[in-house]
Amino acid sequence: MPAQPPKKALQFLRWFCREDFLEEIEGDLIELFAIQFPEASRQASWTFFWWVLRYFRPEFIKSFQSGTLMNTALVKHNLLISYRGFTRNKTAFLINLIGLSTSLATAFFIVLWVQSEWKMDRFHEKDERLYQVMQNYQLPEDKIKVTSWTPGPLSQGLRDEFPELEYATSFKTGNFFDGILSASEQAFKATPVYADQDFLQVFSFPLITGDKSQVLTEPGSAVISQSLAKKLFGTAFKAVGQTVEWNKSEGASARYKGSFIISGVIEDISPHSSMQFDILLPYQFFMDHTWGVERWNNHPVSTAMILRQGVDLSLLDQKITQLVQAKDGAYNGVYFLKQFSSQYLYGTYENGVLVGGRIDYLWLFVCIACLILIIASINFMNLSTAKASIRLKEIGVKKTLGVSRGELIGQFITESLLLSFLALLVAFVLVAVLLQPFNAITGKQLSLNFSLIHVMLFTGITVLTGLLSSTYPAFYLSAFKPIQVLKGKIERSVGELWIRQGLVVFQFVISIFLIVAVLVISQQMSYIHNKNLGYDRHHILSLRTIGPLFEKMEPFFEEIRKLPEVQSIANSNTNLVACENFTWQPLPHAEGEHTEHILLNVFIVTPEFLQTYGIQIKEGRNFSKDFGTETSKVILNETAVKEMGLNNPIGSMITFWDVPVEVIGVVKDFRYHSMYKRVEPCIFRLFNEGDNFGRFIWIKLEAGQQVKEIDKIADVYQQFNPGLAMEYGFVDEEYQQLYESENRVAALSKYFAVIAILISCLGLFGLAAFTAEKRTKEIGIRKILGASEWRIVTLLSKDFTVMVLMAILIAMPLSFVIGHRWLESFADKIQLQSWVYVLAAAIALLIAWLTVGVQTFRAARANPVNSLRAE
Amino acid sequence: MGRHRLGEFEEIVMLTVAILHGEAYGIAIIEEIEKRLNRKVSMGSIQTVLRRLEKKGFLVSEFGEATKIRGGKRKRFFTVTNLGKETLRQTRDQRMALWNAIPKIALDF
Repeated sequence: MPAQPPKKALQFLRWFCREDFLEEIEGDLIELFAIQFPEASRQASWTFFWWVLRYFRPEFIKSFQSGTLMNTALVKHNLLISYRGFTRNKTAFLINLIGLSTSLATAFFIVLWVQSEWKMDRFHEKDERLYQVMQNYQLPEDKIKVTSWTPGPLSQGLRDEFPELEYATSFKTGNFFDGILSASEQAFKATPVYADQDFLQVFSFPLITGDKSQVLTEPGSAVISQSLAKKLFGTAFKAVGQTVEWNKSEGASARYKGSFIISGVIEDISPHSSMQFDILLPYQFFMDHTWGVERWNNHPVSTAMILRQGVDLSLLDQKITQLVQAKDGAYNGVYFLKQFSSQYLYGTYENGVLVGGRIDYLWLFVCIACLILIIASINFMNLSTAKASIRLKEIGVKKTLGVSRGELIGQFITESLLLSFLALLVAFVLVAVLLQPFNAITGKQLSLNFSLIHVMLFTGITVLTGLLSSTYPAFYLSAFKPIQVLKGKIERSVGELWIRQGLVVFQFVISIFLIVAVLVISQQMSYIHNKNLGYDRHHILSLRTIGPLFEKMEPFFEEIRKLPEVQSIANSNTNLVACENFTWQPLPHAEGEHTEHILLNVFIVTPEFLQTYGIQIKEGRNFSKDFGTETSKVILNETAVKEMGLNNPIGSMITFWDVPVEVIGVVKDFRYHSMYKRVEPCIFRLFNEGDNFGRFIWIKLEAGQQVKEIDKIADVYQQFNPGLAMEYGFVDEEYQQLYESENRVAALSKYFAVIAILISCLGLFGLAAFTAEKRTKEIGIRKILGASEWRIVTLLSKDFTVMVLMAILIAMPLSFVIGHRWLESFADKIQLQSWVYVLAAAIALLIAWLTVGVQTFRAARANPVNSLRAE
Repeated sequence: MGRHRLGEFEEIVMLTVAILHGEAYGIAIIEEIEKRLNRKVSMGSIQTVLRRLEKKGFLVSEFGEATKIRGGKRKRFFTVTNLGKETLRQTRDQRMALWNAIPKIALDF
């Protein structure tokens, strides 16, 4: 018996292939199969399948148009009927259009935002092999702190010891290092990254001129961004080979100061990069000018690398930890590698465990987008099922004339798709108009560029919404029996009413939930903003030192102190609000081998610092000039005292940075990080004699009339830094910036809540209008029989009130649980209070009543004669 | 001249059909091309080209007899029409004219 080709394949072929080709193709294939079968029987079946699949292309596929949905006359008819429906029920049409277009616009905004967040840091060519070195520090009480700081020489060590990686780079970022770049008598402020030779091999910042393997190898070379090159030299190509001065105007002893030759120009950094800079300076320069970067027990920089294919990550993690331990015997942390691009979205660790990050907000907003779309779809469903009675005749006549159920469903789907696409057009206008404000809230630079993916996504969302909102009405309406319908009898099942009311309840559950969310978020944010942090952050002006001022800090201070409104002025090496300067401190009681360490945040300050910030001293005293030089004295905070185990802190000697120092004071704990973090131990010491001051200047002002004072300070500043405008901020503003993403979420969630409530109310408005219209006769009769207007209003709003009350009952526990979970991520938080819920419920009820009330009052006040006479 | 233009692959297929003279159906054509030109051709592309040529009037086809090895399906045999022959001849003449126009020296090595 000859071999049989696989049946499935033949069936498939017969199903899709054009009849006039089928016999020939099938014959050929079977013949070929018969030839091949004796040689390799097993393979032949698979090959046969493959052959069949290769015929599955337009020339050979038959036409599947059977004439139900694609019939143009029918489509035309459906469109016409839809159009007439829209013009007849203008209220319903407008409600649906407004609801759908607002919700689509919201969804589009969220899509744009999510997409832009998703793209962050993923543009690097070898993204899937680009890893950053992270580490878990062991803190007391088994706490673990995750950071991305690494020892300065790590990348060199990695390069020497591990063949598993292609490239490794250490780099130092932070606008802490902002400086002034000058050339040809022009000077501009620039943000640098100090990067070693492989930086551009690891990160794909495209070079306009220069070779990425060469540009950073020479110690005196620098790479600048295109726009900086244009500003300084006119074009990118002219810039190469030119000499630029970094921080030239600062005095002779300034730390980060030098001249460089431009070896390459990179394109401006994409907004999708979390690392933003204008100039790449040599890492060696940073090493040479910063104390302790070459030490293995100091962790000041970041390190990233490109792994080779198929490297065992956990093994490499261990090896890196061992490498660091070999160099620094006291090290007790654990290194691990993390994909660089994942840090942006998944960056929050709790005690060493990854718990999320920005991705949470992404999901939150995707959920909100879906909810708002559902709310708008529900409006459509409710209005079209409620208005079913108007269309009963139409459906009945069509059915008796032989229109099939499928065609009716097609008609309703056409109607809702048509509406959705009209809404899509309106939504595009809305998005275009509101894009600027939206960018302002989110701090993004989103734009509507019509890439294929956008068009597909937006069309997809629109079609989905259209289908979602049309399925229930389509099936419900098309299921009517023609005889009953034409007789005018229609059995309204209890289930149908339940569904409609259930949907309204659902809408209000979402709305109430969002109201509660907005209240809780804004309460927590205002709590954070007004919380007593243990220091006074108000009326403190914050300046960054750049330029020649560095050299003349003391005289500058003297001048400023002369101003009457200035209470005090201080300088420090780091920002109090977002301290990023910490060290690994051995515990004093650990004798000989320092096996135990704590993390200590280091503030190097001038004596007036504590006073300027109003930090309270618990024991001992502040630094004072009365005691001569005090560079060997330190002040600790309470947590540091506790973690170091000092029983009598005042007067005790500890070793700090390998030098014995005396503790002269203890300050009360104050919060110098965001509220997500606990209070960490910290130490204050003075600048060494002859050392440069830090970059941060703080000026405590008297309350009121700040504008005048700032002008005066700026005048003094001008004398010391001629030609440079004073850039300043306020500490309380900087503090708020710590909560940037929360503030944005708070602002956005307000808008979304308002949109959700508005759309829900639109639906309610439509339903109320419809009920009132349907019950005109009833109302008329009731009025004739003596019912008061008020009685009728309550009668009509009773149903809606019940629905909203039910929604309140469902929404309360839900919002309690979710609100509680959100608050848990804060170290300091508000208590959830009952009045929040009462307020949310009251708002929902009030809005619902107002919406319904407009309709019911109109119905109740109508003259019964009119409603009863009309027949 | 313009309307009788043939693609390279079309020309090969037509010539093969002519070679096979009455025995030209899908598989036979493929085998012939493979044998003579050492060139892999897929079934789908052959069938597409055959149909196209038939539409242009260069080929005609008729069904042969059903055979068992083809699962009871008939073969479709192709033959070259007069128009096809004429086009082939024209194509060849054009090529020859071009060849003859090359100065002797250009091809001397």
